[in-house]
Amino acid sequence: MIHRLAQGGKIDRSQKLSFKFNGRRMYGHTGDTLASALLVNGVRVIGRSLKYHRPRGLYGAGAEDPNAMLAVRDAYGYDPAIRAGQVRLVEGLDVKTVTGWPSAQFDIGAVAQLPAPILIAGFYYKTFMWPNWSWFEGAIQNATGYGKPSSNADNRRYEHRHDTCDVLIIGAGPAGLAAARGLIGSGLRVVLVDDNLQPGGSLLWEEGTIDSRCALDWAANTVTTLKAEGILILTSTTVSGAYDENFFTMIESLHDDFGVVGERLWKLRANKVVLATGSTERPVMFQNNDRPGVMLSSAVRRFIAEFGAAPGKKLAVFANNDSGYLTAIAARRAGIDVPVLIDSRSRHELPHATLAESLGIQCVFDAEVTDTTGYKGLKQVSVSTSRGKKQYQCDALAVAGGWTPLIHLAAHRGAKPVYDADRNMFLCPEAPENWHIIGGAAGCLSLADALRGGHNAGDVIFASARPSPVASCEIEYGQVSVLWQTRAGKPNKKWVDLQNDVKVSDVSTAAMENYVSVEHLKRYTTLGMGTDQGRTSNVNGLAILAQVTGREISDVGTTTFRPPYTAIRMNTIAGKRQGDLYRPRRQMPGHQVHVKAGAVFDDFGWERPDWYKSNGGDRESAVSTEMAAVRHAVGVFDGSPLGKIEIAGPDAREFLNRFYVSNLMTLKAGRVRYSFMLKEDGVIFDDGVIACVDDNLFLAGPTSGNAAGVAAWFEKWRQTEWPSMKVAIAPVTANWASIALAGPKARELLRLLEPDFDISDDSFPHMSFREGLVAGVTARVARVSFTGELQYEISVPARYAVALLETVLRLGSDKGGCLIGMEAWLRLRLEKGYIHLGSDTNGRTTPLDIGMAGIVARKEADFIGKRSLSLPFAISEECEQLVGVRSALTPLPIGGRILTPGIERPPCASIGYVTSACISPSAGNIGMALIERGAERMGETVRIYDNGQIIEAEICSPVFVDPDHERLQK
Amino acid sequence: MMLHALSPMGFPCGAPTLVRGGFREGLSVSECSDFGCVLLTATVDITDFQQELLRLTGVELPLLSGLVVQADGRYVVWLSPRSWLILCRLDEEPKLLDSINSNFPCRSIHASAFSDYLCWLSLEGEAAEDALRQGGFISLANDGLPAGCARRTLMSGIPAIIHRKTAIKWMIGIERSYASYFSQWLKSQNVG
Repeated sequence: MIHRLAQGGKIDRSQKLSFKFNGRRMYGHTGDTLASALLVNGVRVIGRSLKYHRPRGLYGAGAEDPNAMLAVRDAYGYDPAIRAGQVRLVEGLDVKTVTGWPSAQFDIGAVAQLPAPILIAGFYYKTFMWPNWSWFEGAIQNATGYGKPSSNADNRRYEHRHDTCDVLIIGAGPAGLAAARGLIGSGLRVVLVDDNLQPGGSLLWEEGTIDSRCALDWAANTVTTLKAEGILILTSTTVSGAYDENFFTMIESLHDDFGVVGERLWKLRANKVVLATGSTERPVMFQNNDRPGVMLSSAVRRFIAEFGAAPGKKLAVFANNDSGYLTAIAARRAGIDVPVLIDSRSRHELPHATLAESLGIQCVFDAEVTDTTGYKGLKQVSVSTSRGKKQYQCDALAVAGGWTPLIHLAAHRGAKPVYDADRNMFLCPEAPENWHIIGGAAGCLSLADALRGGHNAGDVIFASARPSPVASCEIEYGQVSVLWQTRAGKPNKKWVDLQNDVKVSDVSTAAMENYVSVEHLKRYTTLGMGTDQGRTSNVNGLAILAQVTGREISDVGTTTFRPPYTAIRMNTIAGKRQGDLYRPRRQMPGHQVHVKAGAVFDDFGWERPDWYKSNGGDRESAVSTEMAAVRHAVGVFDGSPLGKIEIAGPDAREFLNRFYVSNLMTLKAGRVRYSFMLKEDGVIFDDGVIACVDDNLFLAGPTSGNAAGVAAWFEKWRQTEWPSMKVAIAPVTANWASIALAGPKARELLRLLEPDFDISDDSFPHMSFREGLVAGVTARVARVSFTGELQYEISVPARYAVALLETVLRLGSDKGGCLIGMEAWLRLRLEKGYIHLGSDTNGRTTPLDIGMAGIVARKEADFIGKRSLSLPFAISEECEQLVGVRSALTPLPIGGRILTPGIERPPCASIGYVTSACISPSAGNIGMALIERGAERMGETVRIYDNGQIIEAEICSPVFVDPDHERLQK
Repeated sequence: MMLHALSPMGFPCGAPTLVRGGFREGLSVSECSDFGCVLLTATVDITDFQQELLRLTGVELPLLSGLVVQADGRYVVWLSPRSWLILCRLDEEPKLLDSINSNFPCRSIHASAFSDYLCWLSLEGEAAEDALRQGGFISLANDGLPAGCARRTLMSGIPAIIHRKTAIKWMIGIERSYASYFSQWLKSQNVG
């Protein structure tokens, strides 16, 4: 561990951990991050840049690092791309670089540096559009990205947790801790969240005293007190998004000594919010500022103080503010050689220079870095001062260019970032309602101010008599003197965004091409679009854009901040919703009977039998058996998912009449009517039967998949448009199991169930409804048909579903009865010419297109969508109308396009398509199709195109079986 | 002829049954198929009918969100300003339906059979709340769901009615068709 300092850091030096980096065994200590462990093992190159494949090293210590994306495998799982500073070092980590081929050290892709002058912003957009983008797309995609996801499931556990709290404090640095401390004794439910392994924030690595004790001790003591007071402290937890009504998503990482055991996605609602997320340092842009060894100044301090890791043997510092002095002094005190501190400011502004110089650090003023050398690791910096130029040998360079407050979460809530020219940073002066923005996030650059701000925020929420903590620091960050880029150096060698290889010259190019809006700049250059979300680059990019367009930074503005704040594992979002638990499954109440009968289930919104193995060895033979049973004997179909909504009240009839196309004012008690309901645009929304139980009670039967939607549609109109109507809506679908008996022997079978009412054709004709006892239990029976055969739908309380099905099957077995699956059921209705909503209709189909123009014309009363049926779109000659199609030889393809008459093959316009099709045992290759002016084309032969094949078919009536409906009346 | 009744979880109806196997430590789950249930919906403001409904149901209907009123072994759960759930013994359901509907022949207040709509699960134990918190906001109210109150909410993506009976005892009513999925989901919480 060649860069491990002899002492210092919060690591446990007694615990040695081994890990592998690109197959090479390395060592670190408990308390290290992967970044600090790589640093102390002397790893300089950890990847290659996106476009030019330039060598890149560690740049930051945490989430802000644009370079350190690595593939990491621990004992529980594999992450194809994760930032080294966010990985806690554990025994046995296997780490690989994810950029560069064959390796990051020796990357053939580095030849891209040769044509770099032409690989400018917009190069790909312009160059690869000809002759066809798709020719290049694959190769370009392969050249980008980080790591390859594993196809194996990991062993981590993922869970979700929902909670509420009175106060959410985001950030457990000095400001956040001071705010939490102020809430002690308030009785409020407080949640304090921090994305680091331990609370303390910058106190973990910055020097200072609070209330006359070491700042770190103060933090530890405060945390102990907060815990004792019942304040929930979540470490290793990142708040990833802030949404309306103070709803937050947070990712809590769960660790043990072998890796990330799992993650917990918190969904938290808070009454009040304290944003204490701090700020991140930004660099200054100079020539070749991307070499391995160039790092953020604060990251260097953190590596030294928290991890006892030296960034190099000789550290130069370049600063436009006092952060550079903090770093230089900390490094010198840790025993690192600091040959030079390059300050862009003048000597007289800097009282801290004296201290630095007293430690033997040479400080040069009114100076800037003009260039660096060293391909795979920094070797030298060139410095320009008023006295001339000079080179300094060093293997690390800390850069301090100012601070960028982490205001992302406030911006998620719509707070507008405003540029503060005095402090050279974007701030949110108007916090969201019930938010307090404090500390670094509020632009605070001194520990004392951060503590005071935190204390005051706590005091506003809960007025305690407790005094604010008092801090004292040897050196603070001080004011930032503006220096975005050095005067010297070529713009095409100054990197703005290290992750996406965006340079100062790219921003200029974009501006020259009139991409002067910050949103356009972002998309044209990809500035800030990397996985680091431009934490170190965005503000610098805006400053450059402002410079080259002659505007103020405040006029340039920022791009939109969107969640998530940092990358989230897809598994964490999914939580338990994987495998069988992927989404809620619905089972019919008679599910176990279908299982026993060998049902092959399919997802129709409910798990429903598609066909039964008990009826045939394969799907076609089973479906054929099932269809034959219905046509010649009796079939038993479980229609329990069919919607059931009770509409009750004195205005129930009038209410329903406003929805359905048919006239329900004349529907008598005990009778059933089939109809459609439309949306306001006249397009069919649902179909089904409506039974009149009595004058004040109706039973609507929407389609299975639309049952909830129709109930909500009823409620919407009742509540918003017709609140004075006396009507109640009770969706009761799941309360009832509905078993249909269909076929010529259906009545015989129903009779065996001993109904306590007359079921003869005279007393219980087609399209009627009865309530009574069937098989000894309460039942609702409708004589309706979806198959074209005599059919009864028996609804009983769902607890009797299994018994009723078993009884019906037992009694029906000697009548040739069997269970019917969905496929046979749908084919039977197709033979009969009954439509299947969603298959035979689309987002344009009106009742006029499916042969219901007469019913519409006859209904005088208004109904939803009626007016739209007289508009040109509904009565246009180009409307597709539903017709039957029949092919002599070839089965018809669902979705097959019907070619314009007279055209042999595509390409040509299509006049419609096949909506349903099947091979009917009695009618052959039949189908339904929506065809322009279909009703006028009866007998016409059309050509249907499907997947290279042309099929000829005749347009015909959609009713292929029992056109006179005699079977329904038997 | 008489059909035998099965609960949503496949147990014989009529008595609480412990659901065995696989739940996390500190959580016991029972299916309460001895509950009957009536959905009461009103077409009008029920203020004028409160006394009449009290006479018919034996319980005063709560008028505020979250409230549950209990009397004579019956519970009434507020669902919306115009709908309530009356929980009773399973064998009381037909009588209750009849007494309400025959009293309001114009159906200005309507009772629907609802005993078979919901699967009622009793969750008991120190771990119950934690398990539920994984599935959704038990209540969006900041103080959570106090004992004695009920809410309609989404639990593991499923519409549910949650009645907190005591600090560690919860009754959950979920639509019958989701019973199997919900039970599986509860078992998946066993890792804690």
